[in-house]
Amino acid sequence: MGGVEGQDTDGVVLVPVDQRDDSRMYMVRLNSPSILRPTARFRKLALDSGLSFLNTLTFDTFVREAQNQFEQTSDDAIQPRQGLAPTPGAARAV
Amino acid sequence: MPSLSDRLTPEQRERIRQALDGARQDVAEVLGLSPELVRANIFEAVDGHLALVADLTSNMSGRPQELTLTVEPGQGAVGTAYATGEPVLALGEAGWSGYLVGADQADKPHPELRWILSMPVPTRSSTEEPLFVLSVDGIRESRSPEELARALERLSYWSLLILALAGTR
Repeated sequence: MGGVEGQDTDGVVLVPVDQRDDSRMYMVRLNSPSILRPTARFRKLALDSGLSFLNTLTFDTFVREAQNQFEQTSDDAIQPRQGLAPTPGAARAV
Repeated sequence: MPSLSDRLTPEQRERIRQALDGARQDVAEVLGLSPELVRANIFEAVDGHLALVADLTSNMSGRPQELTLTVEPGQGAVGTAYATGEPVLALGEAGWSGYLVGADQADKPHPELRWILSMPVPTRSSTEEPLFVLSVDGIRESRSPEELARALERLSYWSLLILALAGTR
């Protein structure tokens, strides 16, 4: 990762948001990995929690499955609090 | 209408705390840091503010004032991640955290805070604001923006697992 600000380096783009003498802040845009590469501790917790779909998924499918897993039990029980700003597809951030 | 944290069962809360602990340890591993120097938490929107969920944290005991932290959308790493829907990283030197929060909150962040990774967690619709922001931060030891960005991929896994856990009964 070269870390060139505002340019795509090895799939990561750092977009400066705020830079001061003592601090810096960036938005980060990541390319979705083509396959799921969970760590052992991630896999263990997921499987222990009954999320066995992790075994066969690509990363993009995992994003959809995670959202579906949440929303299939939540459509009538929860909505995000009143919005304050639009969200341009946060799923693409992963 | 209930928020995420309002409607979680005790079992779900425990699973999510385990996920926060896993996220903290994975990020520490990527960054070559002791897990004791890395912390994890969740912010959700409450009455127009973003509030830290006090019982969904990892490695944040001993500083109760931090557990009442709130930020405004668009403010600091958490607020910017929430407002833009994009992952955010922030880093700074001693005393930098004042600009991350409002003046009335300035004494709450850990005084040795060095970096923050904030990951907005979406619901299915891309037009909705994030349901919550998963935030992992580090104390005492600094890392470069490039190193911190590398840890965000791991964090993205955990953020989605937390979302799935919130829907698992």
